[in-house]
Amino acid sequence: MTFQGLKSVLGALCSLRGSRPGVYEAAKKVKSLLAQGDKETAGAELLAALERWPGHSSLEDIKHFLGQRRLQDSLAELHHLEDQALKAHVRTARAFADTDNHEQAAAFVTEALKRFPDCPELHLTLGEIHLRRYLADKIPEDGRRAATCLEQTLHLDRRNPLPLKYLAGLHARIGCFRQATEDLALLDTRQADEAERRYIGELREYCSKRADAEPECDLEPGLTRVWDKGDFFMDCRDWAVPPAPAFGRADVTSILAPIVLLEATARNCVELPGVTAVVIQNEVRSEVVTADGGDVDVTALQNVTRELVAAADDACWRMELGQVRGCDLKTSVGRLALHVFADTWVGLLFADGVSATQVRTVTQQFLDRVAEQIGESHESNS
Amino acid sequence: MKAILENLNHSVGVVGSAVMTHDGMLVTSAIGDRRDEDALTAIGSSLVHSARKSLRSFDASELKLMTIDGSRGRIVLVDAGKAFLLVITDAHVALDATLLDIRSTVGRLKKAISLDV
Repeated sequence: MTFQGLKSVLGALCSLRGSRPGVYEAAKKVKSLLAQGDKETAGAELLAALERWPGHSSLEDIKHFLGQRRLQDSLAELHHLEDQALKAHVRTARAFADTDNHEQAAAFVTEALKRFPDCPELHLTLGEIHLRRYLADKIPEDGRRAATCLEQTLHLDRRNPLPLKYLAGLHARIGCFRQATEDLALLDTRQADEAERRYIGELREYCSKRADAEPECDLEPGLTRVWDKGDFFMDCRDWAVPPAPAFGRADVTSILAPIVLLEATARNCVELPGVTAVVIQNEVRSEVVTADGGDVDVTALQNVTRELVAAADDACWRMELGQVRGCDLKTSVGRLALHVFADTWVGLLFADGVSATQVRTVTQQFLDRVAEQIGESHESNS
Repeated sequence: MKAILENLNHSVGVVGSAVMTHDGMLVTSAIGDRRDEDALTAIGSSLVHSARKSLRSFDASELKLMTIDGSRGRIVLVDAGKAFLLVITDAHVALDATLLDIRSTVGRLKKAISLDV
C-alpha cells in the first residue's frame, strides 16, 4: 500500500517535471537564448527562474556573467566614442591652427588637452601654434610654452621626428647651442631629403663649434637674450618652422614687396580718389609721389612717416602686441594710412575731409594693386 | 574717470584703457590684469608724445585719432579735448563697432575733464 502511494507520488512528480522544467533546464534555456543573441528574452527567463529558485548558483552565475558582459559592451562602446572624440578633437585642433586666430586656436587645444592629456598630436599642435607665434614676435612666454609642449610631445611619442626638429631649431635660434647639438644628434633624418640631411649636418657642426666657444646657455636666458636683442642668434633659414595657417589671411608684413615695385604701384595709385601723396620707404631709401597739383611738404611727410612707423613699431614691441601691420592717423590736415610690408612701408596721404570708408576702400585698392604687381613681376621673371 | 574707463573695458575686444595729457602725463588708467599697468601707460605716454611731435612738423597738424594694428592687438589713441584716450584691443575685434563705444567714452571723458577743471 505504502509502495503504491510512493509510486503514484513519483509518477505525479515526473509528469510535473515534463510540464515545468527544473532549475538546470531553465539555466540551459537561458544560456541557449544568450547563444542565439536574444538577450531580452534570456534576461526575462532568468528573472523568472530566479523568482522560482532564488539564489541558485546555476542561475546566479548566469546573472553575474550577464552583468559583466553588459558592462564590457558598454565600456567598448564608450572607448569607441572616446576614440572618435579624440580624433574629432585632433581634427578640430588642426582646423583651428589653420586659421589665423592663434589665440582662439591655442584656447581650444588647451581645453582639449584637459580631456586628452596624453595625446601627442594635441601637444604638437599647441607647440606649433606657440612656436609660430614665437618665431614671429620673439615674445619669451611663447618660446617657453612652445618648448614645454614640444618636450611633452617628444615624451609621449618618441617616433615622431617633428618635435625634436622644432626644438633643435628653437634652441639654435635662441643661442642654446649645446642643447641644439644634442637635439640634432638625436634627430631621426630618415624621412628628410638629401638637401635637408646635408643642412642638418652643417647646422650640427656649426652649433657644436659655437657650443665649444661660448658659455653654456639655457632656455630661459636664451629667450630673454633674444627679446632684448630683438633678433635671433641665427636664422636657420626656414628650417624647423611650423607651416603657416593654410586658411589664414595673408600677413602683409611677411610679403616681400621690392621698393621699386612699390614705387611703380604708387605712381599708378596716386590718382586714386582722395589720395594726395604716396610715400614709400625702407631703412635706407625714401620716395614720395604726389598727385598732380598736390601741395605737399615732401620732406616733412617723409620724416613724419618714418617717425610714426618707428614709434608704432616700438609701442607694439614694448606692449607685446606683435609686429606692426599698419597704422591709420586722422589729423587736422587729413588722413594718413601706413602699411608695413616685410622690410618696406608705404604711407597714403589723403586730402582733408575724405571719409574713413573711402580711406579703407582706396587703401585696399592700393594693396590689391601691389599684389597684382608682385604677380606680374613673378610672371616676367619666370 | 576710472569708472568711465572700466565701463569701456567691458566693450567687446577692449583689453585696457588709459587717459593721458597732451604732453604724455598719465591721468588715470584701467588696464586688464594680464598686463603691467605702469609699463603700458608709460609706453602709451611715449607714443602720444612722439606722434604729436612728429605731426607738428608736418603742416602743424594735430593728432585726432591713431590706430596701430599689431599682429596681436591694436592700439587706439583718440583726442579727448584736453587729454588723449588710449585703448588696447584684441587683434581680431571689428574695430568699427568698438570705435562707437570709444567715441561715446570720449564724450563722457570730455564732460568729466571739464567738470574737473
